[in-house]
Amino acid sequence: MLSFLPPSLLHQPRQTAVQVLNFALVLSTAFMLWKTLSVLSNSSSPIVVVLSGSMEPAFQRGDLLFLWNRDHTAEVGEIVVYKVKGKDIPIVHRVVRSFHTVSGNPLVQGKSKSEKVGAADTAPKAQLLTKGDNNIADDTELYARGQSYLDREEDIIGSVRGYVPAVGYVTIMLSEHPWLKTVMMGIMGVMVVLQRE
Amino acid sequence: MDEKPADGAQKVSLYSINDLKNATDDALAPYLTKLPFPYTFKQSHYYTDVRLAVGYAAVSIAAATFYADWKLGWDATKNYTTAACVLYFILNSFLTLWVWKSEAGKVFVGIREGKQKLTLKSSVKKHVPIYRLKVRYEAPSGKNWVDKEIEGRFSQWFDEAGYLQRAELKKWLANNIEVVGMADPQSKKAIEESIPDEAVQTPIEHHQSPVLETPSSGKGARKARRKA
Repeated sequence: MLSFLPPSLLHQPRQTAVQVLNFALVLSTAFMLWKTLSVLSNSSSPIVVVLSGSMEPAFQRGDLLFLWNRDHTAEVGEIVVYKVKGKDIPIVHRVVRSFHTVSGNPLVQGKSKSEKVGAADTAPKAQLLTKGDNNIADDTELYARGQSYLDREEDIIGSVRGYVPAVGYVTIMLSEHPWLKTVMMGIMGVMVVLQRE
Repeated sequence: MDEKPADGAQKVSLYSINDLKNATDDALAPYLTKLPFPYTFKQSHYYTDVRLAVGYAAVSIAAATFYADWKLGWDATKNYTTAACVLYFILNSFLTLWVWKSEAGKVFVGIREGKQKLTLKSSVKKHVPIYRLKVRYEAPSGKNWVDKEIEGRFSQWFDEAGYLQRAELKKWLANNIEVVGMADPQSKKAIEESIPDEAVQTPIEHHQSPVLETPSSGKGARKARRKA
């Protein structure tokens, strides 16, 4: 019937189970390492790929960025990654204006169209305006409707602490051609189950 | 000439030491568990079962974390994810240690009706076609009756085409492991007389095949050559 499969697969269930387990362990270890990194950096996405050329010449499309999300504020000049509410794409830009409030007392710094911060807030809040180095205009157009600044806690997923050039291009290719992912996984799966190295 | 054994065995690549080892490992259990009473060994799957249980527990934790994260998002599941990661790596470390130290190459663990335990651990060195088997035969009290390492060349039980000749493997086992020799005196005797086995019937000339050697050089080999 399924004569192309080695007979051991069907006659020795334990051995098959061990081989399948080995494959599953590879996947789950990779995933759990990723989650551990997430937990350590407190970011939902501790490693991101630069998708556009808006930060050239600092970052090119395809660069891999390492994020850290345990700071409560962001300085002007820091490069942060944020997601616009309702969209899933991470955007990597530089902070050009910041407006902090500490214990409900607003400290005005430079230009800011701020909304009233509630007096009950005791945690320091940072409201940020960002702009890509390679863009002419700041990011006000990119934010969600009615939003004119970013909130450090809610929108930012981390500030950039390090990067590796060009490595992330594979991810871009995989996301633009999703069938590649399925093909890769399929090949890997078949190879691991049929081998016993 | 390809002589396919009746039991539908697969051809093994003679150049892959790992394949040869795996094929030999797989052939041990069917032989040892079918020895005549009272030598029949019942195979113990304890080591494999612990490995599977711990392994699949870890995988389920990872799967649950993946599902929770996918459905509920990062913020809601942060604390659970932290706990899951810690637990996962504890299980994973245990699994690694278990396979390395406890399983440690065991390919067969069997218990006889008198509670005597036979443990076989196989190993090969990279690119060297020698099969090493660590044999431990224990009394029910735990005392080691036999604790030795035996060696055999793969060419003793694989023919030129790459099929495992079970009779030849049985001969090697019967001659090197005392309790197996007692259980299967026919296989043990066959080595000394060097009669070509019924299972290995090649229609070509009966001179000694360059691949099949008799393990005992000297007297036995000379005898065989004279007979053929």
